[in-house]
Amino acid sequence: MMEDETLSRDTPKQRKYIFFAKRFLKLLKEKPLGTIGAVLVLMLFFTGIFADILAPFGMNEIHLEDSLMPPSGSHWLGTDQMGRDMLSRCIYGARISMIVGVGASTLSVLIASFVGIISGFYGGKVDFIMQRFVDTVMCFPGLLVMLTVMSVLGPGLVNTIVVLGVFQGISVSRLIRSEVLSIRERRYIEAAFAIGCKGRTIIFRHILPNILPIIIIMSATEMGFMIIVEASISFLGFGVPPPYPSWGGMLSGSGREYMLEMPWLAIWPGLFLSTAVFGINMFSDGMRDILDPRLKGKMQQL
Amino acid sequence: MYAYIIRRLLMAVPTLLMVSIIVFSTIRLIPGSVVEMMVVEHGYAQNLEELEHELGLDKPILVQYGKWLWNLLHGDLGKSLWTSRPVTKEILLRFPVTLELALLAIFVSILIAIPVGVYSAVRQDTLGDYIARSIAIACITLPSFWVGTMVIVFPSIWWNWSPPMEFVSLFTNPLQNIQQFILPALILGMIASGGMMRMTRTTMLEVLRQDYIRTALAKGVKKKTVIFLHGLKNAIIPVVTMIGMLLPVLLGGSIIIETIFNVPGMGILTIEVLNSRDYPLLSGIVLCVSILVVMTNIVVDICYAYLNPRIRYK
Repeated sequence: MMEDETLSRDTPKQRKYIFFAKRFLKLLKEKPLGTIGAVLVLMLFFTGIFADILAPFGMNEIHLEDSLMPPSGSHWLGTDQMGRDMLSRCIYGARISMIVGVGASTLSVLIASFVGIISGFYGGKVDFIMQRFVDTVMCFPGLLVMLTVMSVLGPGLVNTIVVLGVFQGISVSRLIRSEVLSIRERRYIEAAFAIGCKGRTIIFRHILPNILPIIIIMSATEMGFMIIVEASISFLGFGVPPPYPSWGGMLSGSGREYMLEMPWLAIWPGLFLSTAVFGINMFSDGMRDILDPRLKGKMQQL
Repeated sequence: MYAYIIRRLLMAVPTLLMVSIIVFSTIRLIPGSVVEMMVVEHGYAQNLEELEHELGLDKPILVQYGKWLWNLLHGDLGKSLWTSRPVTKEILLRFPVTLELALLAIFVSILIAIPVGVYSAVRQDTLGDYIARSIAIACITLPSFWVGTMVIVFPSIWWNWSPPMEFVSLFTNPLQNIQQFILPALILGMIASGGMMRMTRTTMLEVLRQDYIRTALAKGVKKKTVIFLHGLKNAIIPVVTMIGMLLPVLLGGSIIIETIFNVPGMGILTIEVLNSRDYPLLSGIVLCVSILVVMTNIVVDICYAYLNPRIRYK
């Protein structure tokens, strides 16, 4: 009875919220890790986009009189050796990670799709030459090459995004290519050829929609990877230069010099970074389980 | 099998050639600034032309490439810009250290990844699976430089203990050497194990859906036998390839780990060289590492063909 009464008092709008809440709970029960990941991803985006509003201080606001303070009421996460508020810097760090993650993963997925589709669809000589090139790029160890190129180009946000995106894009194009190769053999592609469709039409109408799940999963996975790599490169001093508060860069300069006396300088950036990437990876994992066609079908009970 | 090995070796030739071209053109693209830097900072030579002549930069590019490739085939990678010591010597000095670290890390990662991966596939969507998957994701997620830093910071604050930082060769004092290597290898292995764990889980899940698994279960084979003999034995093949692909990851990861733990391998050398802009040495490192990766890939592919007859007869 009680339930009926509450239900009848709900406006349609409230009922809509209840509907979404129930859907959310259902998702939480079926894919708990994926849902938690999705929430963390949304939080990262929210923090990155609204960093100006959320951060209590500016990212490079220096208060020398407050330097190296432990966490307190005014500076929740303490301050670094220049008296900059750690919480604000970590919040702005989310913006940098978000930009690098989205930018570099988009670029890499675009390159991977282009190379993978051309190579897999046209096959023959085109495929052979392109794949030898991809082979070559893949046998350079990623971090080493990225560091080398960054040292030549010089540190910077745009350079980081381009280097990460291009290198990773070429490397992961293999995945797309193998997917295209298997789709190319299907009957409906044969049929499309038979009725006289042009290659371009087949790519956009039949191939692209079919590899879309792989592309979506890839974008998510790549994003987490890019954020970690950017942090690593910045940690080594070749990525996003100071005074920009990159999570990796914060661990190298001030974090390292003072970390034994003031351990939180080293803790916070890493904690933010790990949480963000953990969320992205869990989210992409959940999506893989839902979207990946190879994982469909019920498993034998063991 | 022999036909396959020969085919695979032939396929590596264009790759190696391309690697050499890319590495060569990177050194050619940069030196302008380096030559100027040498003149300005170190007073190496009287003027630019003299130095360019000394480094052989004034000849046509194809002649330079030919000469460079010829020297390369004779194991001569040129000299370091600053120390004038042969690049091969510098690299050979540091390489065994990184190799030891990488092998230890691979050992650690296999030890973690395969049992956890199998467990999490067999118990898909249970609490155990969630915990195992979270661990796997954590392994990929946790930045090595952060974990390394934490491992140095906290023990030193709590127990006033810090990991040994002074390098001792394996041959002079094995025990002390292992003591220094164990923490870096654990961290590196942990990072490498994340991907392997997920790979094991995914392939295991795919294999467990196959008809022969159902058949084996239906005819009353014990679950353990089905999982390990029918399941794992088939699922492990792609994981073997993964171990080969780990090498570039480990060599990259060692750059960070060696910097943090002060292990004098290729990683620290790379950072030193990047900071001093010693491009002949840098290109030597990139070249050696890439050739190593190409070789490993060939070995992995041959193992793969040996394990999986379907590849051989394509």
